[in-house]
Amino acid sequence: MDHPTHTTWSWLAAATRGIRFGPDRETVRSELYGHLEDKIADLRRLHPDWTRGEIERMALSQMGDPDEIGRALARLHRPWLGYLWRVSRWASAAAAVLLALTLLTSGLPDWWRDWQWTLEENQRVQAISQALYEDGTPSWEGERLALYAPEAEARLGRCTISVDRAALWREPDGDQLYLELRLTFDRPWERGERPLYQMRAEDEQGEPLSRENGWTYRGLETGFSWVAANWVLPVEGEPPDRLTVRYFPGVDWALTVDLTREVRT
Amino acid sequence: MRHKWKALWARRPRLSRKWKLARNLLFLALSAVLILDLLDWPRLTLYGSFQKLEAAYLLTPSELVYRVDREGGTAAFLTRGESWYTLGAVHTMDEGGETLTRHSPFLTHILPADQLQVALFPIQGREGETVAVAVGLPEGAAAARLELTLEDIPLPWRYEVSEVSSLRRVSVVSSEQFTAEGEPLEEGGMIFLFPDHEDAHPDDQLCALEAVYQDTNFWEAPPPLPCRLTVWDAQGRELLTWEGTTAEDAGLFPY
Repeated sequence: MDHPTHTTWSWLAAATRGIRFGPDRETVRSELYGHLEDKIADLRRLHPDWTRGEIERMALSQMGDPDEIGRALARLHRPWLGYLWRVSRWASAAAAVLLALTLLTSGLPDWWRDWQWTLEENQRVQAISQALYEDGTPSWEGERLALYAPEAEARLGRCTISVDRAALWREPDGDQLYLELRLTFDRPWERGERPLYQMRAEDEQGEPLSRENGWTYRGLETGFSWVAANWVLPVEGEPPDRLTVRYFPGVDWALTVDLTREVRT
Repeated sequence: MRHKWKALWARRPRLSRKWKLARNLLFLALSAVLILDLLDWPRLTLYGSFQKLEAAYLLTPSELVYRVDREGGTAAFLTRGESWYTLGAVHTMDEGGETLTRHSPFLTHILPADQLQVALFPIQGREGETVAVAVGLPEGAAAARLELTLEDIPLPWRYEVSEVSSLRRVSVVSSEQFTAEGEPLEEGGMIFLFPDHEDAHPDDQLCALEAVYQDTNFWEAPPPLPCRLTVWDAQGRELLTWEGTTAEDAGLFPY
């Protein structure tokens, strides 16, 4: 491809002036120049006795009015899309570098191991939950005495706390009441198990049911935006008809769990 | 073989600019989520880190009521939740803390809004001032006075183990009383500021309140201290006189 002459250059500049995104302007300009060269080659074959200047002027006049073409091209090539695309390229490159650095410093293996561990733990807890509330086989010594469907639910902060299933078990240590306590977070990134350990249960008389030495549970399952634990509450004698779950003493919040809705199995 | 690969590469499907843009934006979004998750969703400000811990303990939404700053990237916060106040602080650590910010938040108190309690902020301010809050005040409370009486406060351990003999000769004032008038808060409750008065003591004597703070772990509030609170209404009538101790530390951490 020859270099464009001054006349051609002026025509191309006028036709592409309206395209504000630089890379697009360059592409369109070279495309138009390609067309022009084809036209010049055809004219040269048809009129071998014409001078280069005559051929060029004829070719340019056949191409059309550069200002009109320029206006049409400017409408076609929206600059913001081009700029956005260019920014996205730089941002993607920066993100790739940042991601690599974060993986190197924060430790991809740990992240992967934690994820694997969560998957395995969830499987183990699902087996426990099946034994506790469904027809699974327990891996511990004990016999289920009753199964309840309390379907209790209450909001606390940006979280929904619920107890859908409960079961009374007779175990060598005594009778134990299991509550499937589930915390579903509105914001998945705020998901965590810390609130579970602050929960306290009391019977209808306001007597605490939780163990004195802290929070006891059999298995803790984690999902995308929720955590669920099988909370173990020791029961002496008959289980209460209703129990109340409370949080920090300063927080005016309560979840009432109705244990009168027994499920026949 | 090389030409084959080149030809194959040349024949790969070409995306239009719009689709390239969509692909890049998707990559950016996924990278951002992954980076933030790897960094445990960091908050860049001290208050942001405090709020993150509040949220982890389901103590949000809440509003900032009072803030005490200290040099070295440390601040204490008092926030008001639905039926409670939360008090705690955030330190910027040299090592440890959150991956990106090195923030180490902790909550010292969760105080019922309707129950009378007095709590000391876990850090002293820039000017060495000590801050306390009283919540659950009787209706109509317009003014209050808080008195702290400190007796037989032990010498902070760092003085006892110091190799500098002049430090070992330092003693703590055996009995000292601190009084502050309350500043009512819009959200209820009152704030009390006990200004630093270290200059009032000779060089070999340590202020009792200073000794308490120096002996408190940086992630805790001072231990319960005897205090007396008097509350008046707008007409100057005494509404309440209460004697007790400042609230105990709740010890809530991000781990």
